[in-house]
Amino acid sequence: MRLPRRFTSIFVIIVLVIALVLFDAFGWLGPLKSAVGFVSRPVQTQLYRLGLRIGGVNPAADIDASAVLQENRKLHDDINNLIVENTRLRNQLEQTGILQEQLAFIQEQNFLALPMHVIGRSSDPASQVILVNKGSSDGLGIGVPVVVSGGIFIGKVSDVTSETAQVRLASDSNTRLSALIQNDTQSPGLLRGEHGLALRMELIPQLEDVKEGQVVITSGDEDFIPKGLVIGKVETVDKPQGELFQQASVEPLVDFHKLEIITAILPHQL
Amino acid sequence: MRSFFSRFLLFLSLLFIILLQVSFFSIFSGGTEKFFFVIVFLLFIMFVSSFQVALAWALVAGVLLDFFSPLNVGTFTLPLVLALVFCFVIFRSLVTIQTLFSVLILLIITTLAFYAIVLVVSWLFWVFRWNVFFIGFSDISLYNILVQLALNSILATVGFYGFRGLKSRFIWARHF
Repeated sequence: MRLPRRFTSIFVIIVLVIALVLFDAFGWLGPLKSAVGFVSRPVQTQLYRLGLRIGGVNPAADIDASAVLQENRKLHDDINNLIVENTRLRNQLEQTGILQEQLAFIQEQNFLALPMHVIGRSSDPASQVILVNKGSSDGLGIGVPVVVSGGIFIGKVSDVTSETAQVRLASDSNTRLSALIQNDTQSPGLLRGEHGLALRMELIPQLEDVKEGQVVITSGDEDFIPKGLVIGKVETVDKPQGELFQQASVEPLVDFHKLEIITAILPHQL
Repeated sequence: MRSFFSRFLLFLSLLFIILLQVSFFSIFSGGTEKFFFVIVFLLFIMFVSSFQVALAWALVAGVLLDFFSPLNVGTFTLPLVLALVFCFVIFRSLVTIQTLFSVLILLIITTLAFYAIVLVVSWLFWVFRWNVFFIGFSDISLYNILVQLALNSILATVGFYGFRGLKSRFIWARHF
């Protein structure tokens, strides 16, 4: 008895899919992923730049409006830089010893900065993951923190091939990051993303004095991620009565949808 | 030889559509909705050529999509293949009718089937510890699906009339 051709095709394709799933589970598809990344990287870079150019400019706006937009962006950058600067100064004032220790640690560990271009975003609808044009051949590894504007934390590397890498943004629903609120007591908490739309800090002890506008920084508890990278500002505080912990929504300092050049902070040895 | 070049061109077209998705259109998408044009491409192959050919291209498209996602290979490939199988087995008559109406109905059914299967497959992969995370319904969001259906319907309509206007589908079909 012969099966119809289409049933044979379905069977063959499903067997191939299962084989590919197993190959990937064993890590045998790495070279193929690298090859695809190598071939597509130049095209992705150009497409992303074109998209930014088109998406960043409102064609209906006149020259004055675009100048205002540029000035607005510049001021926004200035504010971000001032917040970063303020964070550094507060660190110096309040925790000079710890900061010096931290700086000494960073110098001792010889952290390196690796600038990267964003070349795309993940194809799946759930993840807030960006694709970048550097890979393991450039020294990138899983868990490496990624920053913009001289120290604003945006995420960490979640996957690498030899030519490209994926960076899971702080706004991803699956991101969990140990963080501190920069107040007198350095309130600890756990930061997580909310579907790419917002950041939320949870598990902040109820007795901590958390106020709007306070700066949230990385705690340095995680591998490769140094303490003191700015994540955002406290937007609202949710302090339910009778609960052990309070929560805060955190406003990111950068627009995660308009990233172009970002920097990975590499340790001396991964 | 000619057949090889046709397939190679089709592969390049598919890769370009995926690169457009991840590197160009992703800039215009918000936090919750993402563009997903591959389903339209596969349905057109099914209409123009055959179910078997579309199935083979679904495998290629799924693997490429999985390469550009943080999830394991199979998370997109299996749903794409199974959605096409479901679509063809249950609504085969619509494939043979070949009208704009049948294209749009099949597009809606395939898209909904695809996302339903994505939820199940990503959950199964998570259970078997192949994926660290799984895609939940809140991650996909109804709004995202509606936006995709609207955009893909427009694309399918333009493609349908454009393709009919060219009147070359039998020449194309011979090379698959």
